[in-house]
Amino acid sequence: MKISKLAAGYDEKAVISDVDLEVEHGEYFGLIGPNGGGKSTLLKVILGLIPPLQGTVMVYGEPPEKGRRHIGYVPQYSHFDKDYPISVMDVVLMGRRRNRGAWPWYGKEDKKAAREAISAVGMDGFEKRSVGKLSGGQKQRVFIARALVGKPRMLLLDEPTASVDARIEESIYKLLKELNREMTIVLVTHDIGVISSHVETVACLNRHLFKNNEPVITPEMLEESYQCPVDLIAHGIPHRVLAPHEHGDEGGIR
Amino acid sequence: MTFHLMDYLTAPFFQQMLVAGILASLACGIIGSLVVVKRSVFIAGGISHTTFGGIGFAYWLQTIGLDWFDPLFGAILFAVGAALIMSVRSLRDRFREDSTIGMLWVLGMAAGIIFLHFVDPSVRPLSAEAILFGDILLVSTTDIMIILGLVAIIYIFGLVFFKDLKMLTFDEEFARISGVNTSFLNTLLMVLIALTVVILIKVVGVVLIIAMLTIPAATANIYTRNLWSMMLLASIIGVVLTTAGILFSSMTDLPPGAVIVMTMGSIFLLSLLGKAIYSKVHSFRESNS
Repeated sequence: MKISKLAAGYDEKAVISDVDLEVEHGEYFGLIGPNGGGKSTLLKVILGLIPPLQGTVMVYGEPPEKGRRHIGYVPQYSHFDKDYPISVMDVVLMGRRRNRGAWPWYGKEDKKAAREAISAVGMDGFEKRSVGKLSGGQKQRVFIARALVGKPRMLLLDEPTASVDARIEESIYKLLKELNREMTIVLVTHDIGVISSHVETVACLNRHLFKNNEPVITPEMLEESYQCPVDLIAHGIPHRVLAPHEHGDEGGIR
Repeated sequence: MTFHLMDYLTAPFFQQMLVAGILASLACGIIGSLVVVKRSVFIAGGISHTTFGGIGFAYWLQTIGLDWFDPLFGAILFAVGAALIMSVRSLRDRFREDSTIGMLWVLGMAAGIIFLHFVDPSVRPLSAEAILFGDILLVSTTDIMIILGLVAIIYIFGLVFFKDLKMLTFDEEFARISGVNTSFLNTLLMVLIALTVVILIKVVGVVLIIAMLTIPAATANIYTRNLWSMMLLASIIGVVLTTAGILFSSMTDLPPGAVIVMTMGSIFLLSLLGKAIYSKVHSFRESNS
């Protein structure tokens, strides 16, 4: 995915501008930024839902309207109506719409692919269950399965662990790590702590993009993007993503 | 006064009333379910009230000599027109959606009142009240033919686009990135809602249309786990309760539209109550096991 000199927004007003970004195939990339910083605007441009005001976006060498067929998109599951009468199988089958086209029915191979995707996210036996009655973590898995069933080259997730508890969160990241062996993972979140311990590369977005090509968030990046001093606290060595810094022995920096 | 069921069942006016009610319920099973899951009840309300203007317009045309212009044609014209106006993307972006709907709603009603004012009483067999609250007693054979055609259109499009309509109503953004032409499909759904509304005018009248569209579907939603079975159950509930309502209104001499709506409302409330009791008992058992 390659984004250059991008400006985008609504009604000719740019929410984000001068965004340059390159994500290589196979990367595990995290995009963080405060709410209102333009994360969802950037997502919409990448998915071809709104046209850029300036600059270009290429997804696997094609403009978003075409290139998005390589993207498996996982929206925030909390947006869905829990009373909508729909089964896990039916939701996952939606991911085959692109393969199936306007033809009114899904076929055998679609159902087979759906069962495989449900199995890949560890939801075997849940095919006929009502999506509205599942827990947050289970719903998230169903939406990941829906993204996987179209055999994408890149998985794009919007706040995948918003409102799930820490244990479920960990299991979802474990799943993403496994999926990363076969595909690019792009993760968008406002939760710095979450992203830092899992991704390989990271960028901060707040109207402009700040990136260095390491899995490290520097205080400068954060302060520039959040426009205010930010506390960075790293919990223990294994999860450390902060650059070595002066007060390293205390595990925190200001 | 005694009530003789067989006399009613064999009377042509009663049979036509039943046929219209059943056809309307079948349309409502499909379109009502989509309206409920997409939360478009207010849109359906707006479309249904504009048809009052269309009916007034048709009677006015009859007054000035266009005898063939059936009131249902006027209703179709205004309902589909309102549906198309509400589908215009730029209009929805420019003004608040609910304000646009509200305006069409009242403008349609006002136009109807003005048109009816100029109508020659001899061409207008119906009072404004009959248009607003239903005149199922006066369903003609022509009406049945028009309604049958509309139901056929609704079923054909509903079935052909079922898979995409499910996607659209569940997750419009995902539908769009998956290649569904969402603006076309949204417009199509609006037009199908408009046609369903036209069918319902004859059965329950302009004001009570929303009840036929939403109550059977909302009741079916309580018991079903996928959209397909929701549509099926909503159709069955609609057919049974409409028939029951028509029979009851004939027995009691109460207006059929209002009786049908009250019957549906009672069943919905009973279903909610039943569900609440069931889940209470269920959780009580689980906590004791």
